[in-house]
Amino acid sequence: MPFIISNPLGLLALLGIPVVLFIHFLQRESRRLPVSTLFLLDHLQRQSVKGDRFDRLRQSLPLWLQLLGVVILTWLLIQPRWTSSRSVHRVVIVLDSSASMSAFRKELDLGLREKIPPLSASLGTTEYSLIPTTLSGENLYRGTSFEGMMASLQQWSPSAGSHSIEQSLRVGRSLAGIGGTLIFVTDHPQSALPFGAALLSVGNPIENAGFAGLMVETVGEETTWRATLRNFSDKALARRWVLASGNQRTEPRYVDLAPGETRTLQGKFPKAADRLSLILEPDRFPLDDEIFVVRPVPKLILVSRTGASNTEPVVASLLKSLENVRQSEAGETPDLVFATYNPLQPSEPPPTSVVFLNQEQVPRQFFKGLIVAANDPIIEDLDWQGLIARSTPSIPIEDGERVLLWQGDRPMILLRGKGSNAQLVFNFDVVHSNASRLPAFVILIHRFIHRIRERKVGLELTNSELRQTIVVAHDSSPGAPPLTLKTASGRLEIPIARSAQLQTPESPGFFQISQGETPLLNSSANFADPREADFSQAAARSEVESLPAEISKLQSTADPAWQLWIGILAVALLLSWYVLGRPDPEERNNVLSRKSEF
Amino acid sequence: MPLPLEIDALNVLAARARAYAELFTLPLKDRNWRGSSGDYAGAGVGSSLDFQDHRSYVPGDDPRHINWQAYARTGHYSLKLYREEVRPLVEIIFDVSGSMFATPDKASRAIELFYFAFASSERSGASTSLFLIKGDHWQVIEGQAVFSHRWQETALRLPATTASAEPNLSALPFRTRSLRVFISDLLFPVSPENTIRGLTRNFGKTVTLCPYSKSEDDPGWMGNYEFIDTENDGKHQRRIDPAILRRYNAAYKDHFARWKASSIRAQSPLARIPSEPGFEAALKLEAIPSGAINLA
Repeated sequence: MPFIISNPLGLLALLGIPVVLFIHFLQRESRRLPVSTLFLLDHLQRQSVKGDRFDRLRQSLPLWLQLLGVVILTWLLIQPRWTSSRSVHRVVIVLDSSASMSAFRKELDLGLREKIPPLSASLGTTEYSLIPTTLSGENLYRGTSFEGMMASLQQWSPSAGSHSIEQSLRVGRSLAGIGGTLIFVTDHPQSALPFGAALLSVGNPIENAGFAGLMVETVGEETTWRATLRNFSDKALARRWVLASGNQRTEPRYVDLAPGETRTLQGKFPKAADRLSLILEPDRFPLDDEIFVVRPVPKLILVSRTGASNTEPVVASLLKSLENVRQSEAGETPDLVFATYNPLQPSEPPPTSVVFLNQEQVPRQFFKGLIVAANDPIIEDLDWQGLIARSTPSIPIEDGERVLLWQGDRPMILLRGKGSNAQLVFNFDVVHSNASRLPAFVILIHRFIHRIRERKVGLELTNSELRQTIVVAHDSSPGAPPLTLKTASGRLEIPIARSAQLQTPESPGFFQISQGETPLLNSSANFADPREADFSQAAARSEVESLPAEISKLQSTADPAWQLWIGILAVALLLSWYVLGRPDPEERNNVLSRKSEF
Repeated sequence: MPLPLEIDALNVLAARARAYAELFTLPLKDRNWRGSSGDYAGAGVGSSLDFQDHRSYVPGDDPRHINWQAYARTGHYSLKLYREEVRPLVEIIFDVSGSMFATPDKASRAIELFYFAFASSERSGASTSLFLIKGDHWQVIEGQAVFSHRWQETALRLPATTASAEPNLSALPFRTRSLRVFISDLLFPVSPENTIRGLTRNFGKTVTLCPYSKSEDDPGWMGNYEFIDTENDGKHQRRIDPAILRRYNAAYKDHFARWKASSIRAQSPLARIPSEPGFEAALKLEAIPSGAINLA
């Protein structure tokens, strides 16, 4: 049965052995004793002149008792424990997958090699589990080899933003069990970890400057990019940066950043290019040293118009405010139709359309009553209180239709249909009302068209963040090909059934999503969590040193005979005290004689 | 335990000594005495009731001693001779050196022996002389000074001696053919023959009563000691280890073996009397078997 020492400092008690021997080497203090037989001693060897306090060691009962006491005391102080060779100790290491950890891979390796093996050095078998905080359903490692666990670290690339660690610690504790050890490895120390996790922080406050934000604006024919550059350290930094587009690069430019300064870099998109990248001089945290930019282009919406001509000014002004919208031509199927409905000459409006009620005759009366909006995202936060509309006959309303706006008893705006077929019906005379001057009117139509654009299967160009959940409209009919995610590192096919879990890549760069031969998305993924780039609070801290004692306590049993040792120690000390303290034979005899004197 | 001892304690010792004097006695019957009439058989013919011999009548003999029955049978005058009864001469020499009072038990036993010897001597009607001796110095004391315990004052007036000083017995005025009872621990480094010769001069008989304590016989010393000489309070640093202790014990036993051998050669009984047991038990160990003390 293996034996472990819980308190190695207890071995210092062995220093008591030389101390006891040293004391016994010293001569004992002289005892005064009247004696009548000095003449018999005169011819014997005279001993110990004054000042010579050392003499040869004399064996005596107190000496051996005191040495026994020191040995027993040492045994008790080292707190010996016995472990079973069949016991399995589970160590679960939860790795913080936030992007900032990528700057401390070397420190992580050193920290684990230094702190983890001593945890179970004297125990039987140790089972290691390595899981990231971004739970993906698979452990990085699970087995009994420490080197195997360290090798699996190479597959781990932390790139997540700030996120909660509670769920991963909960999973870690369930893997470790009550008696197992749960260690959370991070670079930013946290206090009071849940689920009994111990902290191992391997970070330190390094200098870092990088891109913290991106904005691309298109005004007319010109597209302008703006990138925010920030110095996260408390020291002034000088950095070089270049702009790359295709195979071309600009000359390096220099930027000096004061401590904590945020600087905005901006420029115009090259006319011939639809993508570019800004590259900063590399440092220890590479994720924010490069930013990838595509010229954003929303999906094209084809529009047509039907109905009365007096709504044309309103429709024209609306189309002018919409991005990437074009009048459908002959042979093209419009995505949206602006239509009118005359209650005096009723007709069925197109399936996907914005319908304006048009009576052609100017009504005399105005609607009266309170204007109340429904609780629907499409109309949320829009102010309709300034709407003034004339009283007209209503469009026939069927059961189950969604009314977005009421005035008195009159449904003013309706939302019909589901899926790709949707109609936004304005049940009042828009032309003879002040709706076109209300922001709510324009915004509502923009929201409606945005919904149509989201549902359209078509190419979109946009910039996104790492690991961002994205929705790509695609063909979901039976037999449709899977989605394909193409990055600089390879291609990944995503089944249609899992398209709802589609995310941007974990590494910064350009990527494309297509379905079969149909391109759906050209985009870039960029690191976009400045909190992870700020290392001012990073620090090294460890609570692991105190774990071996707890682990030993849980995985082993204390010496069952400790009470016996204490008893023997007490007896040895008392016996030694008695032997040393008992009176001299002469004194004892004197006492006896006094008792029996008379 | 230096002198003087408390009077109460001494009274107890004296009372006990008188009581033991009725049980035990000095060896006064072992020899024929000369001197004034008394209770003990003398060396010559006397008027006691003890028949000694017959002899023919010669002119000048006391006619009262003629054995008339024998004259009737034989027709010759013959005399019955009876033993002479005389008063013994006892001289008690009490060594009052510091070693005799080194420990309370030894002091008590020494004084007890002194009182016993005096009480026994007085009870036998002996002519008793008392000497206190300390090295070269000695002093005669009266019999009344014994049980009044004034002998302590005399002993204290004797000057201190060197360590283990030999008692100068040759200076004592012993009477001829007296019994000398020497009470001493014999802890002085001289030849026993010289001391015994000094005691037995002038045809004297010697009995030596030697009190001792266990702390001398088997001291059990171990370690460092500052020994204080009981004679002159001199201080002596000693380190005692088992080897030295064994040599001490051997020297101690050899010292008294030489005393015993010399006593046997001089036909002078010597009895070592331990201090720890009771008086009667202590006498039965050596004093009575050796003839130093007799049963009454």
